[in-house]
Amino acid sequence: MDRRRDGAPAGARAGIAILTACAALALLAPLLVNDRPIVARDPTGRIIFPALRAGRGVASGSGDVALLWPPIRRSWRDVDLAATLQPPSARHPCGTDLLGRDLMARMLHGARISLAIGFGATLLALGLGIVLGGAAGLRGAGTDLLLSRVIEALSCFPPFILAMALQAVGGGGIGAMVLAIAIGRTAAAARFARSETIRWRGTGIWVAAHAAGASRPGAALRHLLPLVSGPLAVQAAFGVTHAILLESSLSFLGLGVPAPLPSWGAILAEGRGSLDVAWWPVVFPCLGLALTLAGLSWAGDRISPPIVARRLLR
Amino acid sequence: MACSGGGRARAGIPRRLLAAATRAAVALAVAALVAATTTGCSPARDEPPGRSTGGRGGRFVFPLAIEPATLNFVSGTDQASVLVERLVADSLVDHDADLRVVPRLAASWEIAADGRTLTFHLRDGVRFHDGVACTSADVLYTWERIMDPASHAVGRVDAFLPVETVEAPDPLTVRVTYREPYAPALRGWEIPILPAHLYRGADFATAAANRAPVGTGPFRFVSWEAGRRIVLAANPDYWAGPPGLDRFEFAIIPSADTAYQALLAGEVDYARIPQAVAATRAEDPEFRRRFSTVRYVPLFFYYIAWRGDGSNPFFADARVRRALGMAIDRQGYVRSVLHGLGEVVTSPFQALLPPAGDAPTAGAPTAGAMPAAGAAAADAPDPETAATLLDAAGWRRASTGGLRRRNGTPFRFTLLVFAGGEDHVQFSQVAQDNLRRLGIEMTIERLDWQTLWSRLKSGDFQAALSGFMPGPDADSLYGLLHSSQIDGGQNYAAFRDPDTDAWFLAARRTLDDRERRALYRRIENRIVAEQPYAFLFAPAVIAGVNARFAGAKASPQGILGHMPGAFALRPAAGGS
Amino acid sequence: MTGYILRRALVSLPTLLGITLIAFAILNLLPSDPLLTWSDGAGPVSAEATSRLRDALRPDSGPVMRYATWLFNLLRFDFGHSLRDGRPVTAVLTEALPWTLILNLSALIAIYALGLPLGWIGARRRSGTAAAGRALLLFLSVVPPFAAALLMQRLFAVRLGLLPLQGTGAGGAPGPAAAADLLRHMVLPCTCLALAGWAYAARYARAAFRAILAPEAMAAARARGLHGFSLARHFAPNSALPFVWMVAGIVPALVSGSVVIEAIFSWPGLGQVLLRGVEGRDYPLVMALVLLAAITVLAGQLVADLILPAIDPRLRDLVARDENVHG
Repeated sequence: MDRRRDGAPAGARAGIAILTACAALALLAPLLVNDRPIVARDPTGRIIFPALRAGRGVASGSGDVALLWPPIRRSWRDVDLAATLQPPSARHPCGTDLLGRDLMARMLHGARISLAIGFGATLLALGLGIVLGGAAGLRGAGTDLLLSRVIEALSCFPPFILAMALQAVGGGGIGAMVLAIAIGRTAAAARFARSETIRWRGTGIWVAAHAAGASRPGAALRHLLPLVSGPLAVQAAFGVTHAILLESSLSFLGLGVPAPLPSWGAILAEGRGSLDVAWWPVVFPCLGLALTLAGLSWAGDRISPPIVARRLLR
Repeated sequence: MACSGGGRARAGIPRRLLAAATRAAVALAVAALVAATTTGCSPARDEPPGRSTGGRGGRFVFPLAIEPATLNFVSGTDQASVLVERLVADSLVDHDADLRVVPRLAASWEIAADGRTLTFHLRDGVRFHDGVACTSADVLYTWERIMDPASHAVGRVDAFLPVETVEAPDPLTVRVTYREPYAPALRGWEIPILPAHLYRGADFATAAANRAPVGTGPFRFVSWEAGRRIVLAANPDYWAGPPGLDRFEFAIIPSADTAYQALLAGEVDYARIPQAVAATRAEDPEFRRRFSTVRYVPLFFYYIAWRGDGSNPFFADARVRRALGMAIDRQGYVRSVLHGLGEVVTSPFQALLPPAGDAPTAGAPTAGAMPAAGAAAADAPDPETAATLLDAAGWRRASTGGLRRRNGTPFRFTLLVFAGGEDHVQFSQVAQDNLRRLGIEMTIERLDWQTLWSRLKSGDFQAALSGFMPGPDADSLYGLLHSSQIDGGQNYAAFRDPDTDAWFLAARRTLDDRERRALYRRIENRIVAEQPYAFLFAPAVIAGVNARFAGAKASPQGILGHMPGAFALRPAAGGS
Repeated sequence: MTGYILRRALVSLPTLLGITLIAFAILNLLPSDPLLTWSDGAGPVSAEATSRLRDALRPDSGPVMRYATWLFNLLRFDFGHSLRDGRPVTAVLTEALPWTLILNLSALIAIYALGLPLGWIGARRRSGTAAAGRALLLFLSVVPPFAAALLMQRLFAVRLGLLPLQGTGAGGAPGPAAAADLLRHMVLPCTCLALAGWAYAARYARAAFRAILAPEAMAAARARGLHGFSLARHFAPNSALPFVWMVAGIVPALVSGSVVIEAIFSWPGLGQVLLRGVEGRDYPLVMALVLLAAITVLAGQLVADLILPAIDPRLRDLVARDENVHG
């Protein structure tokens, strides 16, 4: 009797459910956990939304009348030196960090930042890689030569130097970090896309599609994406968590998101020095990462085997 | 693709649950493991794991966080090089654990009546490790190399800029003449003496002695395994007698946490204890059996420089600077984050001993023959008074709260911080929170060291958090406070006060200690009133020393940074 | 064959040049002060001393000239001198390179050694223990390298005393005892480096094996009478491809993990050298490092391109037509 892979639909659904939950949590974090009201009326009678004004450091005026508070009234940035490194308790479900800030609030707000960095960098890398590799494989000859050199250069350059340069020039920030991490990961995707494109170009499908009048980029995209999505999905699943971990190393070296933004990587880096007495700043971000990775790989399970099989059996 | 899905579906779901349950169990197990390994107890064994090296009794291993760039005594001025050079070479004079000047290579000295000439009398019979005699010619050569820009003696030149001439009338006498009386002159000669015979005729930058130094010190150089360790052996012919140890090893251990774990594991014999565990460790009987502890406050403090030259609308006003200084919670930081291991600094002169000669009171954490005058050594930040001061200076909040403004300008500025410093980054976040409650928005910009340095030197900043290492003499604060040091020096706050300038110069020119103290007291009062810098705190260090060794003495420069330092280390009597 | 190699090398030359140019540009555009680079610039330095020394330390030509000089010296295999201590760059690199190589290669071997079998088992049969093993690896892979390193240090070196905490061993005369000492010192750092790679390798291997061992192919092979070891050997060539590609996913993790792991375990490799070099704007050192890394990566790709056609005949035509299949 054949062996079949395990119940992929169920697993994939679970994975997607986890991912959706994470994304929802991340997006809704400012409305769930905040020390500012969601809706308020300022002294002139205007309706304002203080909770969404995340960036501004100074709290809104005391003259505002709050109309709707978030379910959990807690701040992720309030320093409380009297309550540093408190273990998880009813008051602080995830404990407090080195400066007395509530870790749960920081984890939730950090989810947004970290997932944005992870997904952003990975998707950017994949997109750039597919475009670069696909174009190189399609065009051939001169373009291929040039683009291949670019791909080579990308694969050889240590991302750490790039991150440092981008930060010094751009003053730090999430965008610079996403760019730095993405550039470091583009090459692998590009190489794979390129070789797949070349192989596929040698088959009859390409000639047929072209003869049928399909435009080159259109045909390429339609046929190329299924080809590369399989292994790239596995790469992507790990890529997202790897990007977040890379962000942690960069934070540790001082090149991370600007303080006091609580990306998971920053929380990890800050928790390093006190690991002997406080496990919670390190364990909770790790659990978050594990959850993300589990969700991604469960969801990714569904995609890879059929595609890979179809390709190799050709 | 004919048969798909079907057959395994009924077994699929329990498997998924099993996998999920496995993951959860694994997560719990790992969390338990984490808890078990990190919560407090000391190692379960009595003795450190056996190491395969022999001669344990007289071998001391000391961790270095950075590898020295070079062991050339003149150009190697980073902290790691300086430590190694202290053991391998002698200087004319040195300081003891209380920071008093003591003789080393120079047996005695005298200052001429006009205060401009300093004459050293060297010890007789001192030899370099290769047997060649050490004479005044070597001292002269060392000075020449320091003053030669081509030898890149960064960090050593300052002490000798006021020198007019150096003469060696006979092999055991060195006569130094200064342009005018210079109070810190004697301490300037705490520089290791080069072996001139190994450098003459060789390229100074690439001579072999830079990687294999030869000096007159209590330990002689054996080997330098790049990136790993520097090994020294006792010099039995040292002029003060052989040192207490047979071998001294510097192990390159970049991570401070690893160094501490290495102490616990028995791989090094000294390490700083991290602040988070220092209190609990000191009480643990097992720890106290295996290690002795030393505690000291290094000569170092953190400060925030407010650029007060008018390039920004905030910090030219002394009321604003005073208000901000009052609002920042240093006390809470030292208490909570440093676990009490540190001192709040309200004046830069606080920890400095009086100029040489007076009875010292150092070693103890509350050193200071110069207690902070003027502004109270506050126990807690005072946001109310700060708010009043800010209002008086024109920075007011709208009645509904929010950001402070003056003539429409919001009070928003950027603080530059060194990205690689834990205390730098953490404290800046505390200050950010303090000021936020006051209605001031401070953005933190973390920079690497070179970028920060360039911004500081060029004055291209509004506020910056940095650290300062004063020397044992109060004159070392000249660089921070004198107006001549604004352009290209360390006076980052652009503090310009003619009285302070004059007092500094006067304190340099007189050799009378009482007069100097009075002058520095006046400077201190002025600084406290003007607050060009917000002085923050000085972190303290608790370190563990393997109980197999005795003779470790703490000073503001650690257990090695004074005389006798490493010389006095020896195996403890009846050592295990 | 030799012609192919030479052609590839020639074609990669512009890439290498481009990389060094980018590295040089970055390091020179970032703010820097030679006063700080030299000997880590210690001690308070007054304005007077600074102006004296700055002239001596300032580079004597503009950036374009300096790059051109560096390039010219490169042709004579002279990599220049480090700006931190004046030593030849080759000396600094040759001290650190072997340590990094040993560590990373061992980690790579360890990743494959554990990842492949787990992937194979997971693909071949539905095994609870394999699933549990993969779950464990999954969790381990999201533990940041420094956390894992710290935990393992505390557990294995301090608590249990089984393994050395840090360093490379006592050194001494080469021989079996010194080799054993080195291996003992390598266990912890290698494990930490391999952590992230294991889960990835196991998962990738499982996906690849699953596809390769697709039922139709299996049925066909079994129908031909293959089973057991000969079955495995039948599928081996096709299986090899993904694992060559897998390296591309693993190596970045190794390289970026190296810096932190080397710092924690006091491993005297290139990680610390690179870190100090970039922080200190020591551009001759960093450029040599970048060049070295680039050559290594490109050489690896070249080797892969030589191996792949031998495994997969379909690629032989492409190689013969001089197309760069691996990119």
